[in-house]
Amino acid sequence: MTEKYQSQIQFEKIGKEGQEKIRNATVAIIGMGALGTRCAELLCRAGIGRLQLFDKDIIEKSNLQRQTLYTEKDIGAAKATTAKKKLEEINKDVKIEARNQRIDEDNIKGINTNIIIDGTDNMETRGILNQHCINTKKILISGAVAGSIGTIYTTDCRACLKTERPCLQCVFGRFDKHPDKNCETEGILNTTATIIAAMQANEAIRIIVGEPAEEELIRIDIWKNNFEKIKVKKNPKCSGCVTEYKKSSGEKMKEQNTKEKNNPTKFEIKLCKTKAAFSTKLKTNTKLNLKKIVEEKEYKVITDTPVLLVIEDEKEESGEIIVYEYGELLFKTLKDTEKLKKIAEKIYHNYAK
Amino acid sequence: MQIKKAVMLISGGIDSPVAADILLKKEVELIYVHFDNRPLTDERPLDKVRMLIKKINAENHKKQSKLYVIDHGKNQIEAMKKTERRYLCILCRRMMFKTAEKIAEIEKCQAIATGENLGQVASQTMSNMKTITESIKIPVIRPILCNDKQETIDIAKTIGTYEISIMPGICCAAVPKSPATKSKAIIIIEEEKKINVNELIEQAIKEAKIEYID
Repeated sequence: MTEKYQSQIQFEKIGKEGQEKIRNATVAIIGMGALGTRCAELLCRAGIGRLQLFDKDIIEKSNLQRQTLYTEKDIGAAKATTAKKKLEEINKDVKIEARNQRIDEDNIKGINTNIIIDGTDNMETRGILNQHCINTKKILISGAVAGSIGTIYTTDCRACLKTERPCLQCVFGRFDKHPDKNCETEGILNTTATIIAAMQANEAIRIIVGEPAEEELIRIDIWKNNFEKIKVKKNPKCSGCVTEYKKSSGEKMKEQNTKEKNNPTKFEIKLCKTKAAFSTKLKTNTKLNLKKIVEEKEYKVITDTPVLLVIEDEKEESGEIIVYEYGELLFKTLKDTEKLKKIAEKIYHNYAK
Repeated sequence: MQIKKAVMLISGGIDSPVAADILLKKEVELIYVHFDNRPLTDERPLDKVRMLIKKINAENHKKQSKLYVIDHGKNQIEAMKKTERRYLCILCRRMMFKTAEKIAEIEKCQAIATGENLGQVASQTMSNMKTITESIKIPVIRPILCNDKQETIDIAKTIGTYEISIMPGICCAAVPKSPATKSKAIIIIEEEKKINVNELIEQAIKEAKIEYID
């Protein structure tokens, strides 16, 4: 075994131990098109223990441009079983299960892996996969490609039920309300698909050897050679994960809330978006009494409006501070975080209401 | 050849310098106006504007440009005190355009130009853009209106303004958490009556600092 995977074992993040984990892992791949075939091949060559493949389609002439496991003589054959045959030729050590079926709410229960790779071409199936992963706390590695643009997003449902991690539906909205853009309308480059498939396979291997799942959405435009990482947020109204999330974390959240209510002046210090200034923000929804700040004359008031003040703590040489009614302080010039903490503590202590 | 001259609204951001560059390449002469939001921001946006104009001038072989710096913070604060919060961005933009129109008259410009980009922020929705320029009599030119942000960034990188635009600067502190994205002119005009816009603008132009940037 060692000889076959020598180059991979030499890579320090994998090593012998990692290779053993890969050998013991099972991955399901839904959709054996451009993403699925390439991804399956890479995982197969990497020595994955077992693969479960799903696809209902048969191979057409127009698939050959990008679906790399198939050749001219395969036209007309079923995708999943053909792929299985090719993959077994590539690496006989991998156990492969192929189903010529479209995944639905019923047969999805047959997937018994922790990692599912989404190489589908429609939002409806993605919705089914997302919900299944939420219900069973699995990891879904979704890839999508149109034209020269590709995206990859990992929904780690182990985390998104416990934390603020978003699920696939938080990111893309309800699946039944999505116009399906696909390779039939937008065209597709085999180069784009290869990159995304490789990233999906790579993400699976990273997770198998114990790295945390990628939190950001990755978008590439291969024609422009652009690569972006995009931060995504949980949708507090998501019908996909939030109900489950509330169920599992509700108690904990309640506890946290009471704790914070007992300490209304707990705050965090952060650098603002353009990294121009530090700000502090209350962790609870406590507001600040701006009127009282103006009346008590403890600080020099430069601007006085109902929603914000600009003040200066002359004794502390604070520079200008913007005080928002909703509990945020923005320090225009002060960079000394210790001093800043002291000033903020005093303001919050005296003027939180 | 006929002289083409426009008042160019410039912030320290990515979009307006790109819009300015496009117009300069079309041989339009520009008079720059910057709305200084202090104390709701710091001095850095203005510093960036000076650097940006310098950069665009170098790029387009221009020797000198005129820049009006308007004390807009004062006017915003007046609006914050007296008007409904979620309309602030619309009222702020209306004041900007009215000020720009006055400057256009003084400077004999035929148009106002901006770096607005459809849908990018609350004040740049189609509905709000209509409300904002409702009273403006001269054309408003928006060279990058329908650009993808990435296209604008790519141009900014090519002309060398991007690195300046992304330098730190405190964003306008007055922006409400949920600004209105749709508006009707009648409602906004009513809201605007709570402040004396014409007087504020007259005063702001009178007190404008004029700079010549090489």
